[in-house]
Amino acid sequence: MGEKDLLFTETHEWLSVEGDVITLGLTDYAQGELGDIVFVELPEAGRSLAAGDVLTTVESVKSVSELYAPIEGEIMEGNAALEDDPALINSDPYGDGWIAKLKLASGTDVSQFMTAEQYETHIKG
Amino acid sequence: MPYVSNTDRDREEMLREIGVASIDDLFADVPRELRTKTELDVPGPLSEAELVRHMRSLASMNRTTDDVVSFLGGGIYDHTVPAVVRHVMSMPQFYTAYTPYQAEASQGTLQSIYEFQSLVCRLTGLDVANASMYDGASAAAEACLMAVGITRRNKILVAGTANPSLRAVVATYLEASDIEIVELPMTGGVTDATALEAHLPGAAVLVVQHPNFFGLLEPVDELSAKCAEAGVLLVASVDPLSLAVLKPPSDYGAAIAVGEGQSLGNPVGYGGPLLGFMAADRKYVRRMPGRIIGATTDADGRRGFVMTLQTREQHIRRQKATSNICTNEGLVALGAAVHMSLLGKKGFRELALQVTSKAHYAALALAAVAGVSLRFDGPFFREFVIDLPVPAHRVKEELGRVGIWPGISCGCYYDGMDNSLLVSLSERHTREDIDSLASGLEAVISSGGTA
Amino acid sequence: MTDLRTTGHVLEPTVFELSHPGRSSYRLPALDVPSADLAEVLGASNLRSTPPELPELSEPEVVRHFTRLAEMNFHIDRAIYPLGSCTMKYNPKINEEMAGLPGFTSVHPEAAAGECQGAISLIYNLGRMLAEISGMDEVSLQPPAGASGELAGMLMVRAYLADQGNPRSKVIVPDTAHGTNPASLTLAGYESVEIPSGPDGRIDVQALVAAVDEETAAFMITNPNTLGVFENRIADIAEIVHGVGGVLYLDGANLNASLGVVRPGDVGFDVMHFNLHKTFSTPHGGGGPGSGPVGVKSFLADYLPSPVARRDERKPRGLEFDFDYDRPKSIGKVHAVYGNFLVAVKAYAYILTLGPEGLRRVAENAVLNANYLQKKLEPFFELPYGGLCQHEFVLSASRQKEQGVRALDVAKRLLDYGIHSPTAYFPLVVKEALMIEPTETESRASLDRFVEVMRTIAEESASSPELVTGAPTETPVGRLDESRAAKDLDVAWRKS
Repeated sequence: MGEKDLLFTETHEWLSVEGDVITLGLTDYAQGELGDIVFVELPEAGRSLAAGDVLTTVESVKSVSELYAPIEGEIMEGNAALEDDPALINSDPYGDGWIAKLKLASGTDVSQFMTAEQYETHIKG
Repeated sequence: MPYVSNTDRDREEMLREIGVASIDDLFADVPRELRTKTELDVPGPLSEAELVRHMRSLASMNRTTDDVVSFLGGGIYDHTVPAVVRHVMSMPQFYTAYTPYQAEASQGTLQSIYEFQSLVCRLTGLDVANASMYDGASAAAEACLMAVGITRRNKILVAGTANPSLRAVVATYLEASDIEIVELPMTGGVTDATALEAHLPGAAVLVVQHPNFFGLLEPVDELSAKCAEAGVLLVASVDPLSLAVLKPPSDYGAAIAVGEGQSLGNPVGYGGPLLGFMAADRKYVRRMPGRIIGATTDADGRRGFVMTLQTREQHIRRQKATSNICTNEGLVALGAAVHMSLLGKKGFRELALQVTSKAHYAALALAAVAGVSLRFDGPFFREFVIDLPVPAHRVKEELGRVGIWPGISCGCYYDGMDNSLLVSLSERHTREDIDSLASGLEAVISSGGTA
Repeated sequence: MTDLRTTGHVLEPTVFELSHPGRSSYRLPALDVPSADLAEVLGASNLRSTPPELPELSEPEVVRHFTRLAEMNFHIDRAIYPLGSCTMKYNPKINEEMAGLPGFTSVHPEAAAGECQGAISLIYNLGRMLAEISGMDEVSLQPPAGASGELAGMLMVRAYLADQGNPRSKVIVPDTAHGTNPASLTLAGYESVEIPSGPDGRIDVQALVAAVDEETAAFMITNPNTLGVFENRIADIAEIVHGVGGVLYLDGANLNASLGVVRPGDVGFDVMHFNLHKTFSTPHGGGGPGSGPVGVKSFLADYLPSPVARRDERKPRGLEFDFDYDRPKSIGKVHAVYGNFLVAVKAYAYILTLGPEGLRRVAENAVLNANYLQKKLEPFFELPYGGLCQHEFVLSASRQKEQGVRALDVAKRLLDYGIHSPTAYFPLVVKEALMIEPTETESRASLDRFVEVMRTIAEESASSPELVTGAPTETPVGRLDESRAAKDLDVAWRKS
């Protein structure tokens, strides 16, 4: 899936929706601001989150960034590959660097999120 | 003016450069009505000669471990401090440097602390260690907080045989939390393993000191097995010198080892600075408090050292930090690294053997005095408790008159032990010292408590 | 690891790599009692199977190893060390000598009070001096570091408020606060509420008014703050905090600017900690030991850490001083014993050497030096908060950033010129921050040299930024890979 098909949040998460499952990660812009990512706390499968809850934390050498659940849901899995190689978020933020999959609560509306173009404008603003 | 380098002329020229008329103008932001109107009422100034005279007179009002034959221990131990340790600690490159924030200009501090961490790992058998804590007591408190974070349980168990000061500091650190502290009863001077069982459900951690406050070895294997069964983490508070001969905490399943490292090349110093150390299983490294030094490479692939995993710490994670600690006991840790390097594998073991041998010789000699008995039967390392037929404080007063400090009155810390003394030995004691303690005790006791 | 070069970058092997089996150096006295059979007296199951692998070196090798390591360190005895908020001032040599007197180093803390009147009187009198200097009523020297003083202070606030009926839930901190402040108040059971600074770098009083309520336990601030400005509305701030029944806490990290000029206790602070390793010249030791005494107004005195040194003048000389353990309201102990006593000895000697006038001169010259540097550096670096400063000020490398040079690069380039860098990236409210505190012990010549180096680096940033971004090149190692250190964690040496 290309960047153009993704949805974006103001807090620099991206998400892709397939049925009632969303995959999400950190945007290319956000990973660039953070620099070399050295650690990601693996999201715990089974945990239920409300929109805005902290999903996990992503660490560079000198900063900690919180990743928020953009939407209500339950964590299905975290990307275990990040445990060994957190820098996947730097090298492939929209692909192998995905962070978690969430199972959406029924009837969730995803229209609130930005498109790729809107996000582009957002980070330039 | 002492320690100020500017001359009056410098000051005038600098004020002109700044564009103000007087020093007073520099404090324009300090509301005039709030400023100090009168000179501070503090003594001085003293010249160096006057200062030395005053300080020497204060120092002379203290009786030192050189002035008397002292058997005081209880966590702070009087060993010979090798000249090399003092020498290295007094190098300005070490003692006048700041925290190694600029790694490239601080390789001396960073590498020596990395070596300290490595030595702590070798003693404890655990994988990772930090760059030091304030003292063994606060290290134990921080270990409890770590364990609560790891297990998400809100109860901690502390052995009643752990040093009273350790238990006090743990209580202070947890005072504002909703964490329950259970103090475990003892039997025969060590933790009652049977009584432990009832408290295990819901507990995050058991803190056990080994050897304990009375010098006794705890039943660590049994305690550890029971903890493991209940998913309770074991924190071992250890005497680093004992680890020259005793099995390391990793052998009995401790998740975290902490301890007081003052005895590693530092003087008793009226109780400070001390040296807390902490080592843990590698899987808990991100929960550890304090600075951690790690090895890495520079742009040319050369080995160098940096402070690492700093995102755990207060300057980055602020209210979510693993601890509030910033300043630690770096120079004391350096001293410990020098001390262990100087004594080496052989010397360190030899020192532990001497301490054990002297403690056991002393125990036999004192128990042979009529009316004196060993309070406990279990094995002990460097100190032991004797029971007297008279109150311990009276014996201390009487022997103090002849220059012998026989030990710590246990009654200060434990109910029902007013007649008990904790007697501590080091390599500094000669056979003659020990024999004089025995004969001194004999004299005091035979006269019914007055020598 | 073998490196045969003798000039330029020479790596020092670890003490383990220098070890040779069978070598030893230190001699213990001959054992004059029977040697214990360890298995018999300690129990075979308690023993370790092999001794810990400590290194084996001769004494000359140990000394050379640590001497070579020492040579890789920057330190204040060599050159200016302008780390903001760290107060890297000269550490007087006589203080080291005094703290090394056997009458201080060899006193066991379990000795009876009557046997260590010198030590207790020093603790008592240093407490009195710090109280006088700060305008507080009582001081405890027990906290071994600033953060420990913060914890003790906040626990006292909590205990006091609990006695009033409600410990409350929140402590307010400004966004310029040291990281220890939110960390300590969290440990003391409070929630941290951050308020923004105003455009002049001071506390936004309106924001404070909006933030305080009946759940506000305390407002915790540093004054002068970490931007180096004095909170000129401190009296109003105190009134606002006291108005809701809260307590005003001072982080005393920046007390150097106030000695003899203004006393925290006179401007509304109720509780504070001192950093003897900053203001009172005791050395930093490469990270510690420090000492963080905590001072309070009398309404908090019952809660001080126990025991408290006291003097009873009715007692005969030689028995006047002792420790009071009967403190039922005390928060308890924050240190195993009485705190970092040998550090206190140095601070005590420092105060006696300076006297009242000398203390005031410290503040005056610290503020003079900072303002002089600020003025001289302003042409080369952005100064986000202008006007007169106190003991420190904050520059931004924002102009240099446009040239591809960041604050970190400036910091590293300074090392090539033999100068330690300022504190970088703090406070968080300034982008590309370089926080500079020269202290009073620097001479004008030393400041001028620093200015010259900073001017050169600003020029290099414009003309040949790669010189700056590639720095340092003159240090024992080049720029170190911190992300590798975090990813491939190696915190203890192992034979590879």
